[in-house]
Amino acid sequence: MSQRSPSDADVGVPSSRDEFNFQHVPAQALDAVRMRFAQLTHSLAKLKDEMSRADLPQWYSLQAQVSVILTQLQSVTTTIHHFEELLDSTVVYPLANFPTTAHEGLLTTLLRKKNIPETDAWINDAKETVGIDLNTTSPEDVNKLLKSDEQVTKWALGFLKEEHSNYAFQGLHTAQELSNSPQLANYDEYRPSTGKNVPKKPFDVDTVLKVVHQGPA
Amino acid sequence: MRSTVIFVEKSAPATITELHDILSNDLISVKEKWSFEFKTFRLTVKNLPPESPRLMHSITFSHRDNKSVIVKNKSAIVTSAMPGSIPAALTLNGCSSASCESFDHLLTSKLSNLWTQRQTIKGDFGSTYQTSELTIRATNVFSYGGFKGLLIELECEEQIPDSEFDQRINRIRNYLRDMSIEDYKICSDIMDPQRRNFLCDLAQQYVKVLEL
Amino acid sequence: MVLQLSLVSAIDDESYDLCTSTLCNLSGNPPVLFSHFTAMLKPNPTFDIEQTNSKNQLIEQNRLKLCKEVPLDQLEPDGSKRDYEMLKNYQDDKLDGFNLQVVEDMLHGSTDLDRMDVDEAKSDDSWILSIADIPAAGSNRKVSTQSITENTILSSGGSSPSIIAFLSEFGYVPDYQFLTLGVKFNMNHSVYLELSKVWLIQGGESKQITKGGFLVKAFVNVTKGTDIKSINHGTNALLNLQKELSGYIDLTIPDRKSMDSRLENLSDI
Repeated sequence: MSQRSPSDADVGVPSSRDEFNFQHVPAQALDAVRMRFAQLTHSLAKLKDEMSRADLPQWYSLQAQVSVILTQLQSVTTTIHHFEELLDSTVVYPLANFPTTAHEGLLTTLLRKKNIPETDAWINDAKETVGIDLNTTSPEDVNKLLKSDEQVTKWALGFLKEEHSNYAFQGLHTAQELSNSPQLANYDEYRPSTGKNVPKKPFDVDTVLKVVHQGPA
Repeated sequence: MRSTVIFVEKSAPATITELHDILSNDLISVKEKWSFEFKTFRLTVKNLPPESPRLMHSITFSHRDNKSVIVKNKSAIVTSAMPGSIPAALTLNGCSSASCESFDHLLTSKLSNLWTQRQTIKGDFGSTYQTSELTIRATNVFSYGGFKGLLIELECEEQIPDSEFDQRINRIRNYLRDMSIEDYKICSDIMDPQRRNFLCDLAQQYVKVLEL
Repeated sequence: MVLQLSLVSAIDDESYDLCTSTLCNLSGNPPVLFSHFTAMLKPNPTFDIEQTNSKNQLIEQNRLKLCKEVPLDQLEPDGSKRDYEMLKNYQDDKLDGFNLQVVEDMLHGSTDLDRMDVDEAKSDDSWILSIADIPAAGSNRKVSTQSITENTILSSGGSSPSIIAFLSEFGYVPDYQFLTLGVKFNMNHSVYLELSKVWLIQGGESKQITKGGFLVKAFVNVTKGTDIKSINHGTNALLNLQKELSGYIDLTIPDRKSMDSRLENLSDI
């Protein structure tokens, strides 16, 4: 990424530097958001490209990509959230010497505040998929729905965690792995599962052994 | 299957050669060498009634899969120290650890407070003769290195009437008479005619002729 | 003299299914159903028995153990049903469908004249006779180590051919009896693991002493007590299994006093 000033306002106005004070342009915030968006769009494009190919990639490669995208999304939201106040209070306007007639298309794009129709379509699509009519649903109900969604997510996470604990995943090697790299056997990273399905002891073993070896008392 | 055991105390180490010579005319073959070991144990319990028997005998036969018979007061068991002789059902059901020792060892190592060994009589490197009528096993018997006499074991593997068996035994006794051997112990007893156990009966016959 | 290295534990009846399939996968072998009858004998109490032998060595009175297989067809006539699932039917005192007379006959000789076997060397008259020492002492032991002296009795003869008749001549009388029913897994490195249920048998009645679950015993038999290499090998194999199963079945060293068959075990060494 280049270090040029990211302010959109300087497009096509090379001679106006002297008259305009660029210090108030939130360059750092914009650049941070831009970089994260760039990464995300790149990843999404890559995934989209791979998914459209004739032979699908391996599931683990897809899973890895999705998890990268999720991290990047997370990063975008935290960044936007971080600069929320600054970006919210920033107003964009064209300078007087901007060639408005020559670059009308660009100007309207840059100054647009409404979502472009495509974005609106996505949002509507998402809303329809969720099955909630925002026009008729009160904000409280939406909150409730969000909460219950969170709860389901929480339960699923807990369930996964519990299932995961029922099995031991580490420190087990196949004979082939051991013969290929004998040093694996040298250190022991086996951790037994901490599952709750352990048998109970219905009687005292020593008492039973005592009866077996010495007869009933 | 019937058997008889003869013990000739008044004999010399060379008597066995004489026996071989006199049997030669009837021999079909001379078979494997054999040996036996005869041990006497005494019950050390103090407060036994005076009339109850205190002696127990263990006889191990090399020619019968090294099986040992333990006899006491007309009661007997057949045991084995050969790992291969443990019945599979016992090993598979976890009764046995598939390694076992002789009964004598059990007595001397674990039960010596109850049973004390008294004497050992051995017959080593005996000869086996096969005639058309009987299998004759003969061996010189030693106790602690000293010569004790000649032991002859007669076995008939065919199922024949008792009278026929007695006749065959008598032919051997006639040979002994020809060798001017008149004074000997002989036993053909069967402990329980209703429930015969060849090896137990044979052991009992050994006990009868060797008990001093 | 066999040296038996062992670790024990217990599981409840509900865990049996999961446990057998776990062990089955772990060992790579299917479970083997087994069953045996054990008669413990003690020295005739009317005898005045010395505590020392002729060499003045201390020999404490110890029980004799007679052990014999119980034919599984006695328990389940249908061979196709004779698998590890069968054990789930035996959670009570009662041994359903099993005639306890069979074990009486095994010990004392058949009383049924029709079945009386006149043939020589009855094949089903063989027993394992053994004496077990108290397991070795020592606080830093990792497994229980018990030495067992064992002898095979192939048949009994004489005027009253039964094993009990001979042993009463021998100076031992019956003490108590029990029947064991279980499954055995052949784990790797000659380690065996048994899940079993035990019933005391007294006066024609059976009483389960493992009610609610199964006794778990993992063991290695070392044929020679002096074979240090095999003992170490067996110990390590057992400890590996202990580690492998830890958190699921916690195998522990049994109290050595509970495995003491001596008659008067008050004076422990």
